[in-house]
Amino acid sequence: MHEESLIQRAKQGEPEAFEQLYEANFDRIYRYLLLKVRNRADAEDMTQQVFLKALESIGSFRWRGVPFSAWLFRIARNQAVDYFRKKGKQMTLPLDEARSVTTADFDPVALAEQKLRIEQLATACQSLSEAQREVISLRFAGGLSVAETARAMGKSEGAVKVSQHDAIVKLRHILSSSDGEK
Amino acid sequence: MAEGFGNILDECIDRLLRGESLEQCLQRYPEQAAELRPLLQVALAAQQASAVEPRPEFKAEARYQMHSLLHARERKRQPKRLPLLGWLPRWATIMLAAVFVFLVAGSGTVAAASGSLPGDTLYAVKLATERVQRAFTFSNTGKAKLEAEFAGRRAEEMARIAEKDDPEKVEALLSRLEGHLRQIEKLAAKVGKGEPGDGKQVAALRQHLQREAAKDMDILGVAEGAAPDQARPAITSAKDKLIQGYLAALDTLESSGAGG
Repeated sequence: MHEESLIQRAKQGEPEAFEQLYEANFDRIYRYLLLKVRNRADAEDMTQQVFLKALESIGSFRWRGVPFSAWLFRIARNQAVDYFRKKGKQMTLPLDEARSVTTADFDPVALAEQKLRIEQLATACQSLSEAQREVISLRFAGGLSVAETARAMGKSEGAVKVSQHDAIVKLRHILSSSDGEK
Repeated sequence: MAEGFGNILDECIDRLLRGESLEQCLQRYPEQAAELRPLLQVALAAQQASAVEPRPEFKAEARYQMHSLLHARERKRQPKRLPLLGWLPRWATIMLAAVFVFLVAGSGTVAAASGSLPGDTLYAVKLATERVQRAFTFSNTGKAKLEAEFAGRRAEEMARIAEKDDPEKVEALLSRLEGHLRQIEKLAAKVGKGEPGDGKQVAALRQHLQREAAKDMDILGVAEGAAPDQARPAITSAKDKLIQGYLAALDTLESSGAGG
């Protein structure tokens, strides 16, 4: 089903249409928020809030070639900004029970490795600029294309590509030096 | 960063995200392979590190809550078909109608109090009227609907008080709202455990609660957008508690036995 038609039906109040949009985006919104807030319970609450807000405001969504996912990630991004502003939290909370889609279920070694990887990534991301961190979160956790990332951030595709390149170069230095310390 | 290299890097990252291997990507650009490899290794690590999935139990619960909310909103838009007291025996309908007329239409003071807000002189009359209504409602289903109506009143009052930027009164109303929601859940458990053959009453109550939840969420949603900064957290909290309270009541109704 074409996304534009799904959105139109969701705007008209058809539950099944909104549910399809929900299913298509739920996991990646969760991943994005988990990388941002680094706390499972908060990421879960915020993921639900994102979809409640989307449901409340879908009537105001205008299809002008802007993907629905970019609009959703804007809501998620605002949620994360509010979260840090209201609670005054720093991104220092440990990730718990993160589950990988690439590791076998209930494999404690694989889960521990996954937790370590995302901790390392989240910690390394703190050394990036806000824009670079956002690009990494949207591209790798959210799975957005450069065009969608640009829409979600309100920036040009060129600017996103530059931020992406600079962020990866910086992450490479950080991650290789942290590997060297072990 | 050269623009050409940036485009190549971006294309390779897209390919990695779609599942192509690192070596396949590098084979496409042998001249840039040495420069690309370390960057793509980092991109691959970032993608693998981010590849977490939500807990299945959380996902299932969230999906159920969204499903319930969507269908409650859909029912709200449908034209009302049932007469208000159609499910009650005739004698109870007459009695309730008489009480209703006595309580609401028969008293100018009561009618005037209905629009009052916390802090108004007539607000105590409004609450006292609710206590009388509660005392004269005998079925658990009726009581549950009444509590839902009162919860709706608290939501409307919160919306109006929030505009006046009075967070203390909004908090007090939130506490009252939670009380109504707790009562609804308790009553839902009693209705759910009712006699065999009570299925119609359970279904009617379920629909009623879903409609009320959607209506109140709309009221609070609008209030949240318009509220001053100080009052907004309480409205947001009220929305959370409202949806959780109604979902708990609906779950209780379903799981207590007579539901379905």
